[in-house]
Amino acid sequence: MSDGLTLLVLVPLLALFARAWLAALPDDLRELVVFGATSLFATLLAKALIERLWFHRTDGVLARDAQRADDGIAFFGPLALAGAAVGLSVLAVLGLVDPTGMVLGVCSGLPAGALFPFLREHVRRWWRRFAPTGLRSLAQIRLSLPKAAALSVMVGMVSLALPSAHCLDAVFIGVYALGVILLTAQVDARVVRYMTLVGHEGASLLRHWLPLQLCLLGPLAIVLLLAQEPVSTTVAAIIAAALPVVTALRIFAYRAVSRLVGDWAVALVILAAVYAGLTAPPLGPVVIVAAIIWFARRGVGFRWLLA
Amino acid sequence: MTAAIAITALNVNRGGLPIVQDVSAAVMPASWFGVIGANGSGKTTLRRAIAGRLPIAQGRCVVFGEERAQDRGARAQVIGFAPPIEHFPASLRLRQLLELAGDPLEAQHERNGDLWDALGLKELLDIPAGECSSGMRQRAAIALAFAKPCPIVILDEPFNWLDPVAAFDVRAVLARLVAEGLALITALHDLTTLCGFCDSGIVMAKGRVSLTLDTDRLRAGRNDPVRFESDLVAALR
Repeated sequence: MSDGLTLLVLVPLLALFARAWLAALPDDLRELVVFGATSLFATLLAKALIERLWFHRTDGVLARDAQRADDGIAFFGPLALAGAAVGLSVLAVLGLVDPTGMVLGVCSGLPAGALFPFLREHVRRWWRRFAPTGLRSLAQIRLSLPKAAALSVMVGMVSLALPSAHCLDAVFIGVYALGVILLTAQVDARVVRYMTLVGHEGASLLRHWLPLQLCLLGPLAIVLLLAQEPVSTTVAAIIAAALPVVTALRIFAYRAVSRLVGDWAVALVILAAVYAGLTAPPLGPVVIVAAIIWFARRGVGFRWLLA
Repeated sequence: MTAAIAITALNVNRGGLPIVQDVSAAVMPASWFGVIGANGSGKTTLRRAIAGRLPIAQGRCVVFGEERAQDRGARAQVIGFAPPIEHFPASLRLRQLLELAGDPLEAQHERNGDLWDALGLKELLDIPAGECSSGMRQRAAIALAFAKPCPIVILDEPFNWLDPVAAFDVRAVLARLVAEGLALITALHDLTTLCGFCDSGIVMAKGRVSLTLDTDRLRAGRNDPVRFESDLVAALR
């Protein structure tokens, strides 16, 4: 109920904010946004419909019908068109009306989304069949904390050895940080819920996710700070501080509210923090910390709870 | 002898509605307590409330002599509980589920070796929960209730989904653990286990206790299962 109310309040507010922001964009940029948004929406819609059709073919109660190509097309076609119409209406509400961009977006997005699940399965099969065992097990490596810290220091040393012309060292740090984000920033809401259900407290949840991030980024920032490299240090310090904070925010949000509301709330808090940080810099971190504390307090009662 | 758990006039609400009303029962250490009831009779709510997974609205809940009705966390700490299998995150392997729920895996295996063998758990440890069948998940759920050493364990219909061999072996291990001192509370639907293994129990209907099953009545049920079943069905209606 509270999730529904939150959405009821947040969605119109967000829509108003987005409409005002989009109206201020230059025309050519707005056209690009229309195309991008339409294309992305159509892609996600088509992907979801194809995956739903696959579900019906294997596990659904209408499996017999779903196996037939004609019925599959009859399922996909009208729903894709109806979904696209809803999506375009939402864009129109947001003030994004550009017929050319919309048509191009739908025409490129729908086929791309419909093909994506097939392509993904093909790549997975290929990977299972041809990728060397060593390479496949790479994805399951769990880095120990001392090794992560050593890697972080090593990356710092390498970046110091790189020429600083064209900010090559900062780019190197950025690429490394991106890798760290991709590997360690995933927070599965169901895992947070499960851990809460089996009795983990907030601190224990943080201990599950944050130490690896801190070990991969903290020593790097310290090395660069000691070497007095201003650009690289700034990049590393911002990421080393921001990633654990955003991760903590997501963990506490997922513990306190549903995943959907948590994702929205985290996005809004980050937006608010960035806005506050740009207008009155000390306020940015305050917004984030306040949100973390609020979510943490709200989620305390969920420990062990199986409602 | 102090009861492992003694509940008196217990009331539990869900969504503002009273689901369990005025339930009283006592479970002694080294005993197997069966809870039987129709669907929607309040069995699950009662078990979750006793295990600290739901708040108790009213009544007393004394755990080893200490009043714990208003201390949900304290109840949860001392009572092992099998989480429902639908709450398992698909991305985690069963090994990770167990590690997150209790002691290090080696310690769990050392303590619960017989149970793990009966459940055939070692072969399942590296399978992601999302790829497990309901039976595999149920095996993990039973092991999760024993992930920490607890003097009281509550299991929700533990033999559902298990094949007959596994059910037989697990029942035997649970009976041995009870004989060694465990207070075991299980929701059951099969009368064989209720009569053959439980020392006492209750029958629930519409959120209340409709029949109390003491040792003598259960023993009589073993000798005359037809009469026992007809008494039970009458209490369930």
